Amino acid sequence: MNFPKGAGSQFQPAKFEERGTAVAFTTPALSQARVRMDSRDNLELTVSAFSGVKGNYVIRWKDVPDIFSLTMHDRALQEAILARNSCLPPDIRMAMLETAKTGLAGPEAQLSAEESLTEEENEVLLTRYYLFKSALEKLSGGEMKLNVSDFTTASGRERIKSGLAGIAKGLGMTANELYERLERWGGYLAPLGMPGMQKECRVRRLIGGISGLADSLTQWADTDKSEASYLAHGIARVALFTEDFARDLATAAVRPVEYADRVLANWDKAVANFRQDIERLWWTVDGWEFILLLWKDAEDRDRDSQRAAVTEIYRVLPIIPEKEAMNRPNLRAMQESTRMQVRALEGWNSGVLDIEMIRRVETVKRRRI
Amino acid sequence: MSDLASELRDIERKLFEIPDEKVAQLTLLIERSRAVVLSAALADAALGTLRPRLAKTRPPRHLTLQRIFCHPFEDLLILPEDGDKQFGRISRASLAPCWEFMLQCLDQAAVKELEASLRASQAPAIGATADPRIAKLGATLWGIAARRLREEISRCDSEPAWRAELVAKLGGETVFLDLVDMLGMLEIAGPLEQLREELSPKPVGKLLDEQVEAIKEHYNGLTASGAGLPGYMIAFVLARMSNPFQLLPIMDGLGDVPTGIDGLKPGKYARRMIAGDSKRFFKAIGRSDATKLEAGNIAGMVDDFVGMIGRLKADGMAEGPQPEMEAAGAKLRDMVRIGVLDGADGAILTALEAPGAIEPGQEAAIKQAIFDAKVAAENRVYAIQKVARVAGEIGADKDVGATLKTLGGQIEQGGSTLIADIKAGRLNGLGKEAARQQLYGAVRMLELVSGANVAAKLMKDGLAAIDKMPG
Repeated sequence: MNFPKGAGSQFQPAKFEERGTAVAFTTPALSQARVRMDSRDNLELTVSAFSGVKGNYVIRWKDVPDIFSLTMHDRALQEAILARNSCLPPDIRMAMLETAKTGLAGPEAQLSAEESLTEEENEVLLTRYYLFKSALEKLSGGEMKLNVSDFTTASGRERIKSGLAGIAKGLGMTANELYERLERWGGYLAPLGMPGMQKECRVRRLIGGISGLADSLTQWADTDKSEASYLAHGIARVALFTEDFARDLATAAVRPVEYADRVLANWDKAVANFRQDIERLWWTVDGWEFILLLWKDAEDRDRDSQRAAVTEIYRVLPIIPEKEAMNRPNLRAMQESTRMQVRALEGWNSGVLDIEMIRRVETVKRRRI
Repeated sequence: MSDLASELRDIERKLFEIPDEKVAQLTLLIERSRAVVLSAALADAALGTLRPRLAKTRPPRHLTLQRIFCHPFEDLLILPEDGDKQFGRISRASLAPCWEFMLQCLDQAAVKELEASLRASQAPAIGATADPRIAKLGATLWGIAARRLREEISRCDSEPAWRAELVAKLGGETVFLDLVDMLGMLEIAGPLEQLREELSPKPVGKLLDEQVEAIKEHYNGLTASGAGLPGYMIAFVLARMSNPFQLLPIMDGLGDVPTGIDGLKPGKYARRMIAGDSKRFFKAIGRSDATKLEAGNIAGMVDDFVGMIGRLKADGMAEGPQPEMEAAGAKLRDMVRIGVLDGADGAILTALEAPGAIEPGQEAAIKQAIFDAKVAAENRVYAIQKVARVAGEIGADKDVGATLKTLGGQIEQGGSTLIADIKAGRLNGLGKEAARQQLYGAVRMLELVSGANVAAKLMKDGLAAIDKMPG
């Protein structure tokens, strides 16, 4: 059952960029396959080896529709990602939401995508409001009063900018520059939100969900007698490791708000740093939304379905690459817990798209965390 | 009543927001109020509302002596399709008269003592997978009950008049036979508790190697011990499984070991019980009303039926005339026609129509109606496709094939009309985005009905036409 230590490790991705970003395809054989950049900055797809052995196939992104029999949704998604020519998780997520919004994965996935996009707009708006408020309290002693609605109108934005003039001068920049920096900063922080916000933003919800998944799978594994219980314990260990890693990154990403004056004054250097933190955070939680929804769906089903879900989760489990977490304690133990062979897909390669299997994948697409 | 009904609806909406402790309190309150404050039907309705949450929270249930008494055979309980006795199963309708009879048989002082112990015992914590009080108090109750019932049943075997009197007292022959089965289960309740642990949680899906071994060991142990009739263990195991057919090779492998019923070896015992269950399923199909069922449910019944008869045939259990099976097949064929195929084209094509002019203030309601129509149309197509995979088994393949062909043609035709309208500029007023939405709707439905390759052509032609739209 266990592979010899180190077997195949030379092919394991060392960095997030090598691992790629999970794509919510509805074609069962490609569900959660990953997209990444090749050495010439062209997109490529990595997909689990079809025979179930350890390893991946790597296929040029533009060739994917010629090789696989894709659903219409996936044809549109493949084109949307190709047009963006980016494999960064936020870009892939936006391509997935825009594609689902067409209705090609069904009306429920369409509605879910529309609601997600609206929710994210609200999160951006609220995070900006709280960031501006926090920064202004520090820089002007809280003299300037802000309303969320100011950010939604041109006149409101102008009012904020005129109020920023004095502070901007003190920082050696124009009010427009200060506004634009705070606005960009708020955009970067939006997936996490700001301390004090009533609403929990998407990445924080994901981190909380990963922690909850670890608890739920541990409890489940303790009551299960099959081999899937070992997989579930392994997944729970990876989830806890990922949650811990993500929480540290989230804390680091929000910390600069405490010294906003220095960040705004040394913008170019600072923005590069927290952009990197936020990007790593995106990579860290990438792929977990599908897993959380898959398990949520399986929790109310029978034991066989839950075992199948655990096996499927194990197949697509996003392991943090070694070089990204080199100094973390427990990295080795976490990696060891995933060194088991697993045969996950059954009957996916019959050549004809199985409408029932597609529906199962689409069911997950209809939900949100 | 209406207040309670609205409370229940409110609970249903917020079911997963209520804290665990509240769920536990509510469950206990409803169960304790059953037949005292609330009617049994109302209490059942209230518990039915809570049921999805109960499975997750697992609050401690209100424990009674009757529940402890029933525990060894609760897996065998069924809602009967008719008044006939079903082999290996116990009708829920028999519970009340049998328990009443049981209470009369028991020493009243012992009953009071057990009730006092029950009141004094500590309920398990929320989330506990089992209630340890059942096994603890059951060990006493099951033993006493089994001894007393054995005396009564033995007397019935030797004294026909006594038997006739008991049958009359219980309310019928089926109840009497159910009482005999209860006795059979009570006599082996102890060993069953150990096996229950191995075969949990219920329903047991694909049997694990360890579970197969446990079944064999327990059966052989029961046979060697001479306690009770081991065949009842087969009924217990089968009733806990989602696919009972996997037990057949295991029981066949036991060979000629006794079941406690003359001439019935373990393999035959299992087959007889499966045959009874399948007949009950066929009768349930016969009772179904296609006009009151969702197309998806009918498709699910067809799928289950075909799966069931496939297994019965593979095991040689469907040889010779099978009137119930044939009647169920014919009924399903009708149900597919009435509930799945008839009117499908209207429902699906209506969902593809572009929305007309919307009155001010009606936007949200219209949007919701369009969404609901689309979901219903998709569900209908999924139901047709699900039936299509197995339609030949119930002789509905021609009807289903013709419906899919007609539907595909109609959607393609609608797509061609849409492209012609786009090219003729008739959608210019709505704009490119609205045209795209209409196209995507048709493409999606065509894909579900006729497959991705047919839909891809419509998508390509449609997008090319939209590209040439002004703006």
